[in-house]
Amino acid sequence: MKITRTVFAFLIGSASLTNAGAQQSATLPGGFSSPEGHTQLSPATRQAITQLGDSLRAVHLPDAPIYAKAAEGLLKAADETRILAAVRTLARELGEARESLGGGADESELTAGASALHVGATPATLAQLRETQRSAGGGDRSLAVPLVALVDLLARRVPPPVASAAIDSLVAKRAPPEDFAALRAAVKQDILAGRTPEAAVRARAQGLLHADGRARTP
Amino acid sequence: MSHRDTDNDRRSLENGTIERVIATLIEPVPVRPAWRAELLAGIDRDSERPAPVAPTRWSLRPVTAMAAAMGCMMVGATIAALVLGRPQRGPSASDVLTDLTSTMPMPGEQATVSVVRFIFVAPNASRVSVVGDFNRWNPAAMPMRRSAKGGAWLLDIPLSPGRHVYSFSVDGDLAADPAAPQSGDDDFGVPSSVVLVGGKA
Repeated sequence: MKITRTVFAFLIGSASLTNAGAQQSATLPGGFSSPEGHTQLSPATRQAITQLGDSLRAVHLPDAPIYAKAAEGLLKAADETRILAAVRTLARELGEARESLGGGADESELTAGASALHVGATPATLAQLRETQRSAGGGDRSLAVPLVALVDLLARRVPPPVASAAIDSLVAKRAPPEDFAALRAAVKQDILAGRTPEAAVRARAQGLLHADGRARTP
Repeated sequence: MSHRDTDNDRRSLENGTIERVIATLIEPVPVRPAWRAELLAGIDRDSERPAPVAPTRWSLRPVTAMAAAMGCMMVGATIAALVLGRPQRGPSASDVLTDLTSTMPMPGEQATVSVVRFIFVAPNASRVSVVGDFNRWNPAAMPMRRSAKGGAWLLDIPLSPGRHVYSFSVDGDLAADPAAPQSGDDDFGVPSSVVLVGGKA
């Protein structure tokens, strides 16, 4: 099994290097390479990441995000300790996201949920969003868009309860993706104009919730 | 016709001419018994024969036929457009949250793939590329092209459905997309952006 995985990783890594012009040689398990070639992960770190990926797959969680995270760390010249810590944190957050969002969550929801947890949302917040979505009759819709908007608000220093309440209100009204994008863009503008993140979210969310005549996608 | 002719006709009728004509007409015609028997037998044979059915003839006027043909073509074209041909769109990564349905099948691809247009304004840059989880964060993999006007750099990238994290590599430095949502998980000190592709909204 391990031999097969190593061969697969080698093949994917070779294809990646060929596509990039074969300029670099550093590879990660899962086929992620270090494009600049200046930093390479030690065998111990590679093995740790591989084992983490195996653990994720064993519980039917996606492992691609942790390899992508490691590749991102390599490009951003992070040291191995930091990369490994980020990868482990992401793996844990993926598990928490699935516990909160339910076993039916797709990969986009899981990675967005993990990001939300990373920037201050609580597992209860994710579970509440899922419950609100189901109560609103939107059980067949993905929560990826609301979660991405939530992450963006939290990353802009909006207090988590305020951001969560705003997103939850839009989910309850089955707001279309355009509304989440509009909220995000408007809050960003307001913050740049000097408004506090909290005030910006409260005002903009209320504006969207009370907008008349907006089309609601079924 | 004069008034005198009319008066003569009226007098003839009054003299019983009509009664005599009628009596002549209703007088039975003598028929030989053999002829009568042959006639009745022929009638019996005809009554046992199935009644002839007039052949059905389908016909359309040329205008009607042409209208029907055009209607069929329109229905066929509509079905083909719905089933086979989804419109190709090049959404900007700036609109990642609003464009969740623009999918375009790529040749040889089983899964639905969307083409996402990445735009970054850097008038003074000499080299800009897109890096992200879709190209293993490789700055050499997806170089952007400078637009004909202004300092915008463009690149259309086919992406599989899902959430993708990316940044721009600008002359070796990394920069997030100012128009896209932040990824939030900036573990390495440099912010990244998110694009959501396809899937259910």
